[in-house]
Amino acid sequence: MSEMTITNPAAQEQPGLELRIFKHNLSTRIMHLCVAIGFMYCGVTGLLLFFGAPVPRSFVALSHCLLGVLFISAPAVYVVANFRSFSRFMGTIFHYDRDDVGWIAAPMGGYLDPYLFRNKPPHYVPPQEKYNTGQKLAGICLVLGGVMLAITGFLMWANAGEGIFGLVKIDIGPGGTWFIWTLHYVMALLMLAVFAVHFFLGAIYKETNVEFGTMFKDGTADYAYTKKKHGKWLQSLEVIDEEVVEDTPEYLAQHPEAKQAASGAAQEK
Amino acid sequence: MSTHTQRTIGDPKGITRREALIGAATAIGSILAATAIGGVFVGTYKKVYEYIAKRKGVLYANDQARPLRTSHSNPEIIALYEQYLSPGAVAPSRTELSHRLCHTVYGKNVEAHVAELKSRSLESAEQETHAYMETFKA
Repeated sequence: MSEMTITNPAAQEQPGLELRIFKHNLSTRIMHLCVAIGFMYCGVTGLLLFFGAPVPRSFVALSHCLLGVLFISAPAVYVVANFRSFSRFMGTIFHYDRDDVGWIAAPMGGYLDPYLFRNKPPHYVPPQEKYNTGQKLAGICLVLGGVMLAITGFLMWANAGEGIFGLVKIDIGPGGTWFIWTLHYVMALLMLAVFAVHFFLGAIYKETNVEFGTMFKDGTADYAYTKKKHGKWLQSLEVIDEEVVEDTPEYLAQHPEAKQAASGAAQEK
Repeated sequence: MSTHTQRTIGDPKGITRREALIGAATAIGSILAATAIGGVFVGTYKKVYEYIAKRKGVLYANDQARPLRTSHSNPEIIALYEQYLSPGAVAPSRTELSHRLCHTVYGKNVEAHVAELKSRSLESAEQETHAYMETFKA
């Protein structure tokens, strides 16, 4: 990974300046949490039902449907409530240029270097936007896959037995039923595969697991990590807020020069 | 107490026209895809269902126009029962002979049925039927 020189004045490091990068707002984090809970529960229960595990089938199937509603309604509400963030996300994942080709040629952003090119110098990885090429491709898979899972899941629920609590009943015949169920299984397996990679890189892999805190804590990203991995995005950021605050022990620990200045000022007094 | 400046930076407040278009296209496209896919399935099945209903209607109409619509009112069937399957009477419909010659089974029960047929001869079935009919008439 090659760090780019940051020329954006708002995002440049300076003595006496603490930079906080606000990456995910509250509504994004809540939506992501709902989607994560819904998807993981539906994934597990879906596999249990598919492989005929000894579980109370009617209860598990109903809870699978209800959590499926959470899985799809959270992004649906998010699109309406925070259309700007949604559009920015969609705009990013559908934008590709030479840097994305370079990321894939790296290979795969350099993630495969430790496995395929162990004793060779690391490949050059072009600076990336808010999401790198792999995240953008995964994002497309998850959006399209999520929409397909929602459509097929709705039809499966409405087609079976009494339909959705007897309120919505759609009859699609035996051929349609077979097709919809097969499509749901295939899409679910693809989504589980993408989710496994997403979860591994976001929460487990030591070089990238700082992303986990960004999404599940206060939404702020680590500056050094962002500069290293998402330099192009850093160039486009704007100042949201600026204030003078007292030095905290955490800040002084991270900035030795500030600690020295503070101790010098105390001696002068 | 020493101080420093804390600056929070983030995405620009506004979005570009391209981003707005892609966002709107995704939202509207998803709704249209859901409606279209659901509509195709429901529409196709409705057409198939209408065809089945029409064909069923034609078959019932044809059947109603026939002079002989049920097997139990067919003179040939009545004669077959009176003269052979249950000699001297139409009822009872199930005798050993009628069971042996007219009834069949499907699927997993076939082997047991074949074994049952092999275990007894047609003559013994005739004798049993005659004996049964004597009792029935009495």
